[in-house]
Amino acid sequence: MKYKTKLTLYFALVFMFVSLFVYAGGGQEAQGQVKNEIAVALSADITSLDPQGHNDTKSEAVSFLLFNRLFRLNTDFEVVPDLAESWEQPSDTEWVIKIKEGVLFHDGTEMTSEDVKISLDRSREMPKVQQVLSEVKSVDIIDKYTVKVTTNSAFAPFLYTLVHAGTSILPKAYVESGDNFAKPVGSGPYTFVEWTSGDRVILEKNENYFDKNNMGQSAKIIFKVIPEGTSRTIALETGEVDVVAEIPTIDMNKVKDNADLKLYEKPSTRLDFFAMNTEKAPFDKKIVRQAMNYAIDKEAIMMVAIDGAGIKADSVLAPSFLGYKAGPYSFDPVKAKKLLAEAGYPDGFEMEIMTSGDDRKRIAEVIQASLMDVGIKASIKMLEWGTFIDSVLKGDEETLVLGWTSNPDPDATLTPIYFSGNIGGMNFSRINDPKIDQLLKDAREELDLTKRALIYNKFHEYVMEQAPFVPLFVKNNIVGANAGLKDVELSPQGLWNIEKIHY
Amino acid sequence: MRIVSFYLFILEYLFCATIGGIVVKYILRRLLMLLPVMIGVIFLVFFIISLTPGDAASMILGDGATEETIRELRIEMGFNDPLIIQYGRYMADLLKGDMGTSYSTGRSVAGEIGQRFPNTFKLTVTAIILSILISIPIGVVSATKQYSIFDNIGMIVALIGISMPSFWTGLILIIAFSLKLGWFPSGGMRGIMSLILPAFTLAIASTASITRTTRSSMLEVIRQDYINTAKAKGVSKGKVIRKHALKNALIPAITVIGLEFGVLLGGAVLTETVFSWPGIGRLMVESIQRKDTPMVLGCVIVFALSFSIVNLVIDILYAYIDPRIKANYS
Repeated sequence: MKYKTKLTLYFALVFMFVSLFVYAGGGQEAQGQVKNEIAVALSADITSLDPQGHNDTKSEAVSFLLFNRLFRLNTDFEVVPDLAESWEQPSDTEWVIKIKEGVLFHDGTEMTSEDVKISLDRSREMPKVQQVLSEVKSVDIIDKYTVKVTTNSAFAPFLYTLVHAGTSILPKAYVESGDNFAKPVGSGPYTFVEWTSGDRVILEKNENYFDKNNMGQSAKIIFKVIPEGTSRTIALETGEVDVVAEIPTIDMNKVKDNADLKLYEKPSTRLDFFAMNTEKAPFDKKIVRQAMNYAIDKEAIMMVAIDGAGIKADSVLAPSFLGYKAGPYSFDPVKAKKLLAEAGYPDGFEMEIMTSGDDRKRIAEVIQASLMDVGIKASIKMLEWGTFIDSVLKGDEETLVLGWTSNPDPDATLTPIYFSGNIGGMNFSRINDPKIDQLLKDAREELDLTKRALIYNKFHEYVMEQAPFVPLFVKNNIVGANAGLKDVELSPQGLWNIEKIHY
Repeated sequence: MRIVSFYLFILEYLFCATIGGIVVKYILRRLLMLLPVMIGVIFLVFFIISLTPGDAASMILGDGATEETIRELRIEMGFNDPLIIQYGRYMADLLKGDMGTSYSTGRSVAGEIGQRFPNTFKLTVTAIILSILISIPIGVVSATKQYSIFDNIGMIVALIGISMPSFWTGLILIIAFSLKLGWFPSGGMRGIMSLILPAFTLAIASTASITRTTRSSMLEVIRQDYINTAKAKGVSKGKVIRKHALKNALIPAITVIGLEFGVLLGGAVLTETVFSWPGIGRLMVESIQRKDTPMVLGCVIVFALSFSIVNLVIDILYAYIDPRIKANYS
């Protein structure tokens, strides 16, 4: 009996000691030891490790860490030098760019102008990215660290094209080795470790990175592919990932309310719009198109389509773009009715909205309701994506609902969508207006940024007056991250400068 | 363990069969029959894909490609040739063992499938084993104690199981076991723990149909005369059920298990998506969306092949379980 009590006491004491020890140890770990790797959830797998073999944002996130380009964008969408040390323009079509000396590739060799030339030349040939440098006529080596790029014509957006992942600088020796990017060698702040298809990509910090001010912060970055939105949020909540690049809008509040997590939002470059086929009556009348701009309730659309996570669109680009200027319209059904009466449709008319996909269907339904209030009977025609695009290219639609994610330079969006030569292409409203064409051409060729911005101001004014589109909203990029993470940055293109993120 | 014994059994069976020579002939015949099936499947899929709208060349080039480059690529890739020629070219390459390269990633189709299929296989085998372990006993007990509380509960549970969509089951399991309890990872493919939730999700759906099939065929068998005979001879109740009834009742159950197994091998897209499982189902759906013809065809070939092979194995299993079927071969 006595022996048993003693034994119990002994065990109790040991237990207390152990738990005290464990407790103290646990506390120490939580405070002293900072987690040195971060896991980032992506909604889809990357398509290629070759920076010139893809044209999607997931692969781009990885390419940006493995490779450098001559220039890069900062979070405000301004072009800043990356590999470029200095640059000048001897003439309107010539760009002489000098790269930094002493930039080392991951295999230890130094980057020279030969690598730059072969990379830019390859970029123009690779199917996925050949359009990026389509304005480039030739790339010539001047000396060991300098190249001269000649463009076909004066081309203002040129520096913007050099920020694209497709213009990453690759080591000549590696490109010629025929490894085909199974184990890519770049110069970026992170080096490649492994890619498991459909599952994850692992990168490791490059200790020899040339830019000591912009070194990678975490020892390891793991990109995990989590296709399902809710699963991404849960993985963030359980701590299986530290950053989620795309939080579904329905989960925003869940992340916001969680003290361990933090939500980051910034308007994207994506514009959702309602476009009218200006070749078809009654949308060939400017005044009808303007009426539509007053009739549609954008706030309601935003609530239904993106849970309010965005900003109302007042012109044909997101506000972050060079030369942006908001249009004159506001939600005003009375004015819309008045304009319709002026145009000869006091009792409205019947029309069709064509679109594809569930999200856009919801947008179309709100538009339908808005138009009903001004006497217009709209029907909605849903098509499978491929069929939809085919019909749009043919100009079958009366009106349509669609979204467009823009590249950083306004020209990359405006010329495809509004230039008359692109009717039958991406000119969705089939607008054919010499003044629009001229403004686009002028802006494209104006190398002075201030003057160029003014031309775009005029463009926005004019195009909104012509009103081929009703711009609806600009969706926010929504990033969720562990609250302990520092330096999480967003640009209009989403999660940015991933190399800076750390605990 | 079960898998090992399963394979051992197949080997043993084939060995025995070789002596007879009959079954080997049968298997060879069946394997030969696979050939026209595969050719037909590839033919169908090839043409269906080409009928869907959207142009492969512009898919490869992505946004912003000019008409001219698209035209050039179309010529280069032979997209302008008549379909039958494109099909012939594909088949010729396939016979050489070349499944082509993916339009969207530029990587080898065989390599990509080689990476993804084992993941699906792992998940499928675990799910099927799980569901067999759960459903056969429930089915048997439900049948032997027909209309008891156990039977009713069992059948209601089965009904619920078959009615729940897998993405929903999956999310509920994730919320309960990874978010609230923290026992399992919520997704990904790292070790045995990450296998359990997705396998269980898949198992729930197939458990339902296997349980119901087992129950109804057991009910049929235990009313047969030979069961009464066995009972009259004084064989113990347990032995009657195990040896006399179950073995005869298993044929329909095995058919269902085989079908489920075959279907799951084609990839359980929803479950793979919810659990971020890098299986072949997700690969196929993503490829269809990108109109990545070589990758879709590759997935279809693997799907058709594994389905056919599973069916073949099931047919052989019948013979092992039911000697009457074996007698038919000879």
